[in-house]
Amino acid sequence: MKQYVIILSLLLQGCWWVPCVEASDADVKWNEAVSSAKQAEYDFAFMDFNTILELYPHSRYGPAAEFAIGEYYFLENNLPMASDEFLDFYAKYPQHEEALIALAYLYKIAQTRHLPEEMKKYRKKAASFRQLTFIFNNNKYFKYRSGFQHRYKLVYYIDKVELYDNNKLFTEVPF
Amino acid sequence: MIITSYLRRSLFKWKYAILIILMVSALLAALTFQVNRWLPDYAQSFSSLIAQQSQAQISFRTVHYRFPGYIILKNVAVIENGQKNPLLKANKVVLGFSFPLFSSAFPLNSINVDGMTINYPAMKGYLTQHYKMIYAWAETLPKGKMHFLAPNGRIFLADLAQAQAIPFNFDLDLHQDHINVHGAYGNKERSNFELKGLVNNTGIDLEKLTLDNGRSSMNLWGSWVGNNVEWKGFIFYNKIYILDIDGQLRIQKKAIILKQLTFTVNGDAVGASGQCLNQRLFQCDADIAYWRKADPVDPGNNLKNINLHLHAQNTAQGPLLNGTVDLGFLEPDPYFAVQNLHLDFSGLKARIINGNFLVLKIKQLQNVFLAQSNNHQVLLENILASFNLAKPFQKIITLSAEILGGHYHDRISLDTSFHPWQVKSQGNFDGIKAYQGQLSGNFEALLSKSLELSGHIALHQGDLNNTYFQTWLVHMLQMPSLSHVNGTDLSCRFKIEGRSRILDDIKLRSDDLDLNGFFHLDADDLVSSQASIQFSKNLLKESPIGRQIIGLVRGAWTFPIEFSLSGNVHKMNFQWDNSLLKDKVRQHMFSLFENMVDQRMNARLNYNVTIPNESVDPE
Repeated sequence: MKQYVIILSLLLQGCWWVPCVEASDADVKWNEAVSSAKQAEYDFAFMDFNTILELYPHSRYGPAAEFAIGEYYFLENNLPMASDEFLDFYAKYPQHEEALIALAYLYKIAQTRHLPEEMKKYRKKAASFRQLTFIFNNNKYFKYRSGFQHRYKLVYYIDKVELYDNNKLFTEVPF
Repeated sequence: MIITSYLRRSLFKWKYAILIILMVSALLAALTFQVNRWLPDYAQSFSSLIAQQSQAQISFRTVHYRFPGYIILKNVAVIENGQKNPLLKANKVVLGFSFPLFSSAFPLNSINVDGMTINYPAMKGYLTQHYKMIYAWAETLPKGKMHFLAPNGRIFLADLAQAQAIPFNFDLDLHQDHINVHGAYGNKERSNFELKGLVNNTGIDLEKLTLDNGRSSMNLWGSWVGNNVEWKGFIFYNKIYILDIDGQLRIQKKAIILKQLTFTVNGDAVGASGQCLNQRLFQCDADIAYWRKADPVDPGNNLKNINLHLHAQNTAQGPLLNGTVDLGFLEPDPYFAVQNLHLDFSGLKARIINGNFLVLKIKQLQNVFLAQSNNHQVLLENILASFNLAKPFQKIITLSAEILGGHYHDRISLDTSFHPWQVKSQGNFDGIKAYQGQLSGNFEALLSKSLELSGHIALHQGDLNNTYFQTWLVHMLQMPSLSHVNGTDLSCRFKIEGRSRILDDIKLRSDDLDLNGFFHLDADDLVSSQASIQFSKNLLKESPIGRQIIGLVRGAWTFPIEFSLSGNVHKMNFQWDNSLLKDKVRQHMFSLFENMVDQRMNARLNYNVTIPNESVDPE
């Protein structure tokens, strides 16, 4: 009987061990990706982010890696692929604040590609993203540092959203 | 010598030839003279015989024979017995005969009527009365070859002296059972027509009936066998495509029954059935249905289907029409538009004045419609509508009616010269009982591909209960008694263009409320609005935030609250704009407390959504 208890406890420990190992590997991969991004080795960073999505999609780095994939395509000026990735990100995480950054990207891409109907669609989604009340302050903001080490600042106003990238205005979505 | 001899012999031959020619000419002249002497008397007696049989007198100024087989009548007129005005007149009628020696068929083989003038009302009356006799007479005619030509004809649709004539011509060929007619009619817009068919003992097989004026065309085919008429075809009319026409009609002794008529209009399906009495076409019942094609949906027009039932009867005062109309809509607009509409009308009378004005009188028109998920009933009484039909593609309609204790007047112009049709309307209304008060206003509307409506509306001493704006304000400020506001004076200018709505110069006054502002909603449901609102002391006290403001600012209810709205209409963002009251409140608050108020308000509005973190950094 004792033997069975020991075997069972070992098995249970093994089950617990696997995600611990995963979390650890995901950390390592994330650090590698960020390190590559910091050294402007964007292709290596992209591969590491992709590995995180392939091997550790449910780790805490999953959403951030997915956002970074969209960012990579945008940096590479592959706007259709960037648009697809940000759209997937928005569909998967509609409640995350980063989803509004993805929407701002989608709006900017539609603007660059001269797609007015798409612009209207994303403008409408951005307007419906949150319901906000401004009693004493006329804006609210949200900050996010991405896998490619962009420091984003999203500023909500009553009738528009502004997205800053490294303190520079990246795009404005009016509604 | 040889030449002299030749000339003598030739002269001899010529002498004989000339002699023969002279003799034949004399013979023909004698024959023609004799025929021409005898012909008027014969024609006169033949005409009298026809008059007895056909109830119509044929008169002419001259008649003469022309070799080899033609009889020419000039200034011919056909007058129905007992009538003064001729049914038909012609400058010249040439009847062509083939001699029995060369043809065994009926000797008359061609008729050429030049300058035919038809008096349509008289002709219609004559044919309606004597069509059976004419048909029986036509049946007795031998089936031979006949060519009927009518160049330079004119038809008078009304009285000969007054109406303008429509020119026409046709060329008709009858050969055995085959009939082939083609021709043209019309003044400015000349239309060509062609009819091909096979006439037999049981009826007619119509191979082809076409009508074409370059801009529009019609193609029909079918049959008339016994009492059953069937037809199929298609019509192109001014960019309107009427396709898949399929009709079945049964002509009974007393009634004409439309068993079915189906077709599509630019892809939208139409179906009809009904019946009317033979002798009184206005004694009828009809069901007409229209279904709009599902795809693609036009955002400016969400009509789904129309069902129309009509019952007409003849009365001593003329035809009287009762009926119902049901309209259904696709994707009903939740804010303003009607979701479905049922119209029940009775006592509709129609009259045409001077050929140019159609006057409609409707005793009662009951409207039942569903809007904003509420059923509404509106009764219109003593409706008077007059249509100016003078221009072929432009109709001017003036409409007046009594409605909900008030009066409504409208002037509508309808332009059908292009597709989609354009309707312009200018109307006003006053004294209408609505929302427990009195409603008045004016409007201009333009309906073509989409609706554009603008105007001014005013409600005097009305009660506003649970409107969209009230519900939002009650939730926002927690003022329950705002759900019902009595004794309200409300006025605003409005403009609706497709799916966008604009309300400007909004003025809303009641004992507890004073609001001024504007509210714009675009086609994507995005709001842009600014307003100032002032509450009574009692109302302000109801709200937790109002109580706090009263605690901070003395006489806070005497200051208006300025605010802006923006974003999606279902999730409007709110901003308290800078104002004297806001400055006074701010003087008493710390910055930290201001942030707390903002966060609390957001927490209450963002259902099931967390407040954004200041920073989310995966590192």
